[in-house]
Amino acid sequence: MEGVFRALADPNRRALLDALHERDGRSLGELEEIVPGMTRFGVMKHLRVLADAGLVTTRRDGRRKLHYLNPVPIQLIADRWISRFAASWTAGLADLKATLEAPGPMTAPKHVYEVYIRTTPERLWQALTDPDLTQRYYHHTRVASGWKAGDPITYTWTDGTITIEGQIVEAEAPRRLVHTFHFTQDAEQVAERPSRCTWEIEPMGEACLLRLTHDDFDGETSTYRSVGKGWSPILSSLKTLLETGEPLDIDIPEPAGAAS
Amino acid sequence: MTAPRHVYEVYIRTTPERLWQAITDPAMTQIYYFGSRVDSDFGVGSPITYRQADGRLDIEGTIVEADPPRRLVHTFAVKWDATVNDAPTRVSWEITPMGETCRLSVVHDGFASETATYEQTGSGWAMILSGLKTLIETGEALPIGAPEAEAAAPA
Repeated sequence: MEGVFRALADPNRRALLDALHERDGRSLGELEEIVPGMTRFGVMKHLRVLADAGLVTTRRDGRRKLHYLNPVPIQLIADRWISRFAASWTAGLADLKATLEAPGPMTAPKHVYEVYIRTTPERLWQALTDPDLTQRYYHHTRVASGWKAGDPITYTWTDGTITIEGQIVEAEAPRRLVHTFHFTQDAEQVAERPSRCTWEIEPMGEACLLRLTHDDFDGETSTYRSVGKGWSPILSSLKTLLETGEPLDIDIPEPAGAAS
Repeated sequence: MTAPRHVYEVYIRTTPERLWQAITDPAMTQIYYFGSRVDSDFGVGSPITYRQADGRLDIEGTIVEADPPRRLVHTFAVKWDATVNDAPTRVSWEITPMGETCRLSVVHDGFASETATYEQTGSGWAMILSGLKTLIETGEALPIGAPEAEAAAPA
């Protein structure tokens, strides 16, 4: 919901939403005319903020991408607060203030990575779930799972050592995979509660956005700190593997310690 | 830790020299940097701009450090949106060779708070750096969604 407020705070973005409210299904070129003085670069940035807040959705029409207003998040705000104002003005205000000031999930430690890859959702899903492929980009580990909610998931070195174990929370091929994450090769991290990895695949034309969110840490734990620098080489190598057929060969001079 | 900033790391199969070129050559930035062409002599204190091919200004700044092919620091003021008047922020590019691969680290900081500049640059860097990596490794532009396809089409 914070994203919605932030998206609505900008007058240019409100103008774009007003334009879409007037007539849906506009292309980037048409929307550029709504905010004179702004370059295409700027309009694209604003549309992305609106899309991230769930206020604008897009659909491809040939080579054009059309933008549509999605009023649901605003409706949710109205449902949440406007009716409360009617019931009790002060209670509603206090609630709004508490919500806005609460240290929400924004401040909880998490790692978020976004990488755009020239591939299809199906090939990307395969790269995440096929042990022959993970072995090539994921620190030489082979993944194993039944890929149904509740199933175990493990990442294992070729000598048989399990390095990461967890459980599938959600698996919706080829778009979304959520699993818990417990690194087994470090005493401090073994003692920590499992954290959570969420892989989201969003097709964007001939490319896909892969977003990895690693969260549900109990503060800035040893796992949180150690995986922080570990995901970038994995995701970079995954992208190279899918786009060129060969993974990256990275000589990492830093001491090992990145869990993954 | 509490000051807002964007931090990205991407590993690219290339040499520091080729990566430096990709960051400083307008014909290359136009392919992966939202269609924007970089322009600077890359001397400390010199201006740096990013402009669309039609001349419209996207970003304006000054070179703070330039140590080819390893490190480039410049200020960054938003010009693509006339309503944004935030103080200039700072972008640091750092190239570290690692065998056949280079690590490119980009830190965008110097935001007064979660300003419009901070917010508008949040999702763009992942696109830029993904496109840069694809361009270097495959020689081709990364076709992300329709906006880029439209931008690449003749006006």
